[in-house]
Amino acid sequence: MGKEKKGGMRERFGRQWDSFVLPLLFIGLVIIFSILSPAFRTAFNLISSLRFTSFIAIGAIGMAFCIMNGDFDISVGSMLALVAVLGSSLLPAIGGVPAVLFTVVVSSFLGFVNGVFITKLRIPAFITTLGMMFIYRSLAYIYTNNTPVYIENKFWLFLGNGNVLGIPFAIVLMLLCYGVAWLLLRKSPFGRYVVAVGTNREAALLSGINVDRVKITVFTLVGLFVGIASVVISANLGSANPGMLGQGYEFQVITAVVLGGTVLGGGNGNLWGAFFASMVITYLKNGLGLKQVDSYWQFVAIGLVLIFAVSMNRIKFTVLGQREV
Amino acid sequence: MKENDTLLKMVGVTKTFPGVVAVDDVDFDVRYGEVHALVGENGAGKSTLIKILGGVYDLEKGSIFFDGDEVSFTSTHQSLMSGISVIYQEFNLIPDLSVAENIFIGREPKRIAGRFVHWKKLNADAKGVLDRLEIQIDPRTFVSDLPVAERQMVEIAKALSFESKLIIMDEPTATLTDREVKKLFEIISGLRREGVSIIYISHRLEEAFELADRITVLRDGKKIGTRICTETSEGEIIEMMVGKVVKDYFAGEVRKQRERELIMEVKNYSIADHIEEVSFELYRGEILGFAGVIGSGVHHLLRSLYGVEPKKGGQMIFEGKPVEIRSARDAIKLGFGYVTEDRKNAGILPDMTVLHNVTIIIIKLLTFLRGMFIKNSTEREKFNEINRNLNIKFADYGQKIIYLSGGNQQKVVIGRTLVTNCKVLILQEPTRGIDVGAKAEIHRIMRELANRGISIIMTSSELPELVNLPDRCIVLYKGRIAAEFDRESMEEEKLVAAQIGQAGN
Amino acid sequence: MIKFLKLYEKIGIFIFLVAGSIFLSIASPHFLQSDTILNIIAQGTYGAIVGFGMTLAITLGGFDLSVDAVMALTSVFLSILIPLIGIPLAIFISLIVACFVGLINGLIITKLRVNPLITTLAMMTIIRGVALIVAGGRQIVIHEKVFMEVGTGKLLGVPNPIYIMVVLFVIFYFILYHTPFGRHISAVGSNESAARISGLKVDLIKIFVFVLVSFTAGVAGTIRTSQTLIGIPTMSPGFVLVAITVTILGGTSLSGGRGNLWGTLFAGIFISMIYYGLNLIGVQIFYQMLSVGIVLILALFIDGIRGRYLETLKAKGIKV
Repeated sequence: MGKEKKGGMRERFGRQWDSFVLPLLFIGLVIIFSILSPAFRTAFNLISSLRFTSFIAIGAIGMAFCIMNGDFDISVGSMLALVAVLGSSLLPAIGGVPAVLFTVVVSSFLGFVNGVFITKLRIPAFITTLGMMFIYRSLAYIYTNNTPVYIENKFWLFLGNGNVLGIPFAIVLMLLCYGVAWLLLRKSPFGRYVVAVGTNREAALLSGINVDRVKITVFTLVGLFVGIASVVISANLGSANPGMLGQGYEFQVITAVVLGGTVLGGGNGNLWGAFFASMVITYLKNGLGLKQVDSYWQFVAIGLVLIFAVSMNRIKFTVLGQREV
Repeated sequence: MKENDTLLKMVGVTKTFPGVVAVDDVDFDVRYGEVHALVGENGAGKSTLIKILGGVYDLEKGSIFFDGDEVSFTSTHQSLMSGISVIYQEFNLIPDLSVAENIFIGREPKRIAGRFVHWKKLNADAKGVLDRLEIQIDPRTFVSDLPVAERQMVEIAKALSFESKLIIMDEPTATLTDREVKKLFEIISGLRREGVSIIYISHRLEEAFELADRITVLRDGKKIGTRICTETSEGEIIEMMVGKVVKDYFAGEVRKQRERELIMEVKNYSIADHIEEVSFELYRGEILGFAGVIGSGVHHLLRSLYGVEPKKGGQMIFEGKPVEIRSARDAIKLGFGYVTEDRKNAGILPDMTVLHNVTIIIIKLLTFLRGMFIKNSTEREKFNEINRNLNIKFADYGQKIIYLSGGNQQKVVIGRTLVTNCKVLILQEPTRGIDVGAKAEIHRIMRELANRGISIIMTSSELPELVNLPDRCIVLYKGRIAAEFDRESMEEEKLVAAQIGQAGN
Repeated sequence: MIKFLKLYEKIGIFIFLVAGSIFLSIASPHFLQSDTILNIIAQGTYGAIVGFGMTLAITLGGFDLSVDAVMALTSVFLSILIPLIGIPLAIFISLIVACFVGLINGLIITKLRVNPLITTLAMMTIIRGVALIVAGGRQIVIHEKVFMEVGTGKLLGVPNPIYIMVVLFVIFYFILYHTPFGRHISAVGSNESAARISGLKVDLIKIFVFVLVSFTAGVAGTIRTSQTLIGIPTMSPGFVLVAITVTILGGTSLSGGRGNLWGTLFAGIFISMIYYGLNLIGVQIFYQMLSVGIVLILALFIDGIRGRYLETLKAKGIKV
């Protein structure tokens, strides 16, 4: 039993690390910023920061599934912009609820198409989504003739700005999405399949899992959550801007998932980690802004965070003796 | 001490890995200009020995003398520079470069201030080396365009270009046709004439006897003996490989003879490049062993039965009905189970828990609300059910499988097949990389399963396992059935003989 | 048929180029004039130049997504340095800066072992941020009109960028196909472990390749900046798509080891021809990005189908 014991201790430590490091990191950041900037102290508001977080956090759900499955999707930012302008442009014609539904359905479909391309033609996900990234973005420009779509529809706006029993609906939506995602990941067979394929595709295949179908579903999910996030953010901003919306989104979302403890190669992931990491990233975006630092530093900061997060995962593996990626 | 004509002398060489002594106090020597064959069953220690010579592994104990000096190789590069080339089974060639570039990779002749490749000289030098070996290959051909046999010749030319004094070849003829083998032999004779020594590792004894001056047998990491080829016989060598005493603890009680009920028939199965017209029958509750060395096609046959590799032709009749298995899912639905030999890369789901590893295959059934939510309690129940027999040792339900020992990991993978109540279980190398105690347990489990009516198809490269477990054994050689043995007629020597193409003996 | 499928990698783009030329010459009477042709080629130079670098990266088995950020950074540095130290020195230093970014990419990939996609994705964002910071968020006008000569001047009637492209092509061609270093790039991309065992210094090779890629981005950025005389920190977002499309369309294999520089050159011109064709129809500039994306997806599609077809043939036992 000797080997089991040693693995046990290291392993238990590894499990704790996952649960605690991020919330600690987040709290640490808040403390640092509070000390450094009085403006931050007064402006800090858990509720409003949670509200802003929902944009990245919701998108991070789909991306988390994707990364757990062993891929990643860099078209999400452009997809976001495209479905936002498509959906919001239809508001005057078909009304709030249908438009929102339309947005989400279209984004899911786009994800589905990505998935089919990647699985049936065996093209690496990154390059397919790279091509799609530009196709979606340019379609957004073309469709709107490079003019933003202004949103006045009450239902749509409510989804991003409204309150339910005093709590911003965006937060409720976010928690709902995370709840559903958690159930899907931990309590449904599909969730197991996603992780299985990500951790060892060959073994998953031999166990009778339909790898292609799982992958296509995962990419469809990515699209689904992107659609939801697109409604929230465009509601927040009051408009859907084909050029600005979603710029760098894929990058922020991937960083959130990786920082949250999900490993790039595929395998078990950490949904709540992604949630906290989304908060951290949102803070980097907005928190630095509040400090009146050049907002461009946020780009640098997030980039460094991503590299740090990936390297950290590697170190975690070697030090804690977990699986090498 | 050393005689003047000894190129390589290994004295008391020992190397262990966690849990197993791979090479145990081995003395081994090679003379100048000698072809020395090295034979032994899988796991005998051959590949560890050559990896030590190739600079991949360090010695633990013992010393090596090469060309008069004591040496210790700390890197592959150093071993190469000292005059030893190893040609592994998976070649180390660059497919998208030419033959000449591969031979001289890293040492390309240069011109114009040492910046550009001197193509003329490169190709001429390469041609020179190829000519010495009388190999007719245009040095400008891309390696990716060469068939396997010619790639091997490129490897040999590469070795020669280093003026290696010792060339080690690991199973060089595994994938060659007879004609290509002949050509290889010519080359080896040519090398010998030049004074190059060769260590030739092969399962094919007839080749060893044709080529080699001396032959050394390893078994379980120990050197059993060295003979001069002209002064020994294949029979003696096989005896040395196998050992007179059959290990007792693998001998279980002789299983009760049952009524033979046919469960599966395979007819005229062919797989491109690997299997040619193989047919056999499988009965309920029997353990059928498949044996064959590298290149025999066993691995591909079994994968194809499970639907993971496409077949070129042939038919399967399962429980009386013709079936087409095109994927693992089809196979599982019919009642097949499969345990791969490559546990680490294709067997376990590393980042998942022990529990999940077992239940993943039937997780859809352990749910309520029409397949939506997993019932944790049912899942554990099912796991405990099959664990009653298997006795997997683990810390808690949340422990990830990679923290288990090899034996327990194997039990988990076997457990995964059992939860489906399969009818036919395919086990490849069921006890590879597992310590003796665990091996016995797995054998016990296999026997129990067979007694319960599950048919087991197994492969193994460990002779005692093949002799003791299966009720019948089919030996494949070069893609065809070479021999079939049943309980009474199964003897280790005959099995080995059949695997290496000596079925007639 | 099988022969054709195998040759496709080498000659596919050439066929497209010829077909495209024929199509365009029918569609527009202006097409066959030397002015037009030279113009088209000149427009294709940026894509081709960065494509050369990208070809090296993909041959190595990696990618570099940070190229357009490097272009922007170069642009910004030029606009700041030219008034201070003169044009030649400014160009020199800006290119050094570009190479330095490549060096960082290479170091992160080899020493921290972060995968090239994530590394260059992160660096892309970081470098854009740096460019914005250095430029103070503004676009900086360059007043030294002489600088325009680089990108718009003509020598013997041929636009300068074409000369630059040809020179770079020759240099990269020799590097990739005739130097040991270049052959080693293909070796690493073809079979990295065999390359390592053969004693090649894989890490150094990787670092150097990334430096070269960023260098080409720097050159392209210099040409672009000289044409507009403005240092733009947000220059050419999406250029990386063109670079990758040009490389893949040209026949360089995604799996590494087989770089096709001629193909990249032709593909760069081909993409320019597509832009010209779109202009004829009179569509907006956004259609350019869309068309490049579609071309990439189509190229991948054809590649994918070709691959699967050859696979099924192999399974049937047909010699491929």
